[in-house]
Amino acid sequence: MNRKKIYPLYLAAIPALIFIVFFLLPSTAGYYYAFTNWSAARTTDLKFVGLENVISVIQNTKIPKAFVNTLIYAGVKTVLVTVLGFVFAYILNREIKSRTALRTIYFIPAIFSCLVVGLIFSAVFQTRYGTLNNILNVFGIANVQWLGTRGTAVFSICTAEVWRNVGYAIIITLAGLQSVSADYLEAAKLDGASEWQIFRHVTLPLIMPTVNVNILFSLIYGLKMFDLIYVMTGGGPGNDTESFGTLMMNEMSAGRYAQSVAVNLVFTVILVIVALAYQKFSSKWETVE
Amino acid sequence: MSIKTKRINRVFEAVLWIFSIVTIYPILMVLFTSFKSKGESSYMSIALPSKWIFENYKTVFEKNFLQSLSNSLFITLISVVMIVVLAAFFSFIIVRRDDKICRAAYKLASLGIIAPFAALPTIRLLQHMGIYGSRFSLCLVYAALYMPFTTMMFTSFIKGIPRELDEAAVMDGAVGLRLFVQIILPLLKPAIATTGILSFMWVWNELQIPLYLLNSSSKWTLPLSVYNFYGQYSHSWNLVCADVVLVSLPVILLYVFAQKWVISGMTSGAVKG
Repeated sequence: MNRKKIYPLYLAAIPALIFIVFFLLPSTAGYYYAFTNWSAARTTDLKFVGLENVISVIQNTKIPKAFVNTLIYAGVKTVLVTVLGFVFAYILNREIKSRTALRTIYFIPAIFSCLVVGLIFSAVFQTRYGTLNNILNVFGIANVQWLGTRGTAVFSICTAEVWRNVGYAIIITLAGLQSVSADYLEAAKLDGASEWQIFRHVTLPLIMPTVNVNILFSLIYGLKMFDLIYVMTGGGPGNDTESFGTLMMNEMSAGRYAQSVAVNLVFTVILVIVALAYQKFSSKWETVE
Repeated sequence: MSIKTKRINRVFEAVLWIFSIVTIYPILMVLFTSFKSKGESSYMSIALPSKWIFENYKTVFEKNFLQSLSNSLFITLISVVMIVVLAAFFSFIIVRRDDKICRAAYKLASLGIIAPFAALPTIRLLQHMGIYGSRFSLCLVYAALYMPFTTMMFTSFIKGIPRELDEAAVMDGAVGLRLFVQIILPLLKPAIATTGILSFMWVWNELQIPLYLLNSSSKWTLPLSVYNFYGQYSHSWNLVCADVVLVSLPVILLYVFAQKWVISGMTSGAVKG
């Protein structure tokens, strides 16, 4: 029988419709509002103003800062999460007695809401009586205003993000490691390869696709970071820790709706470029084609 | 296993346990702080409360907690059902039909994972439809935003189901909806469990989207109300921590009882693409 009859398209109609209306439409045609004079003061009779908002947003000093911060968040997160996830997964894949318990513990942070993690790390990094400063005080180091200056605040936010996400990377890498056939390892061992050689020439090449998945997801979600920053600093002090995500929110709160959409548009373009560029190196979507 | 390997493994094990403090310490700190007095709670440490104050939870509970809890449950449950059911249908057709339209649809869906949330355009759309601010509008948005990820998991899972099964069913006259419901759906149970649990956690934990889409406090989800509570009571860490414990409890319970599905699903679905 004909495939088209066995698998009729109408079965996919409702999901497709919801996806198109509530994701695709706002994410494409919706960016029309970036080119209007939409604001808190003007919500009806919107006028087309061309590239005015996009240009003003790009010339705005907040954008370069948000751009750099977003790259730092995503970059630091991706490197640390991938590396730590890999190291921990590699160890957890060895014959260790308490492996199940350790695996559970290392994954726990991943189940918390970003809000919760943000609150926890606000407590850890708070200046007066914060956990970290309490510990430093013991060693005679004076209080540091972790969330008060750009450098340390960005560092603190990255720490929280890495804390929450290493568990995911461990689980995914662990699955990759477990799918490496024992036969290969055995054969390499029989040929007299050292543990390092086996790791370098057998295991590593075989789990690179898994590592790529980790990198891609860390990168995408790192670039989209919002909740943690919003909870821990709100983008401040000033605009020092702003990411694209918080900048969109803060522009909206200030009533500059069209500008917020313009930031959103610039952000989408950057994300799609980064992700597509990365896909060239990874085979994640190729398997589908 | 050689003695040397065993010794190395034991060292590694010890190292992992030492590092696990980084994970455990903040969690215990929040738990203990939630039972402290206001004064004691401002000093962030893992010390046990000098006096256990259970009233903190009562105080938090009385601050509109039940209203937000019911909002969160309503929104999360409906969203999860929609995300899972819609993605299952979508993936079934995409994988099995496998023609030009379906491959294009899958590519578009992958865009849904990459692109950031178009917040204000979505608000504008919901306003035009006359449903902005309603809890159900949030469910529709969640369904659209999380479907791509669950679709990715379902498609990889469905690819593992041999086509011969379909063919046998077609011989018996089961096509379309019947084929899906009677033959494929029962086999998807593990994938449904995993995507259901994961999307429950994601939707339950979400802060950004409700922040944009829920304008009246009577519709707030738990994370949103906790966030606002923190804004008002940021000096009462004991109450904030009690709130944090309460908002995390459902996902912790879910994780404890359904850990197997979370981990197996994360690995099979996400890795093999």
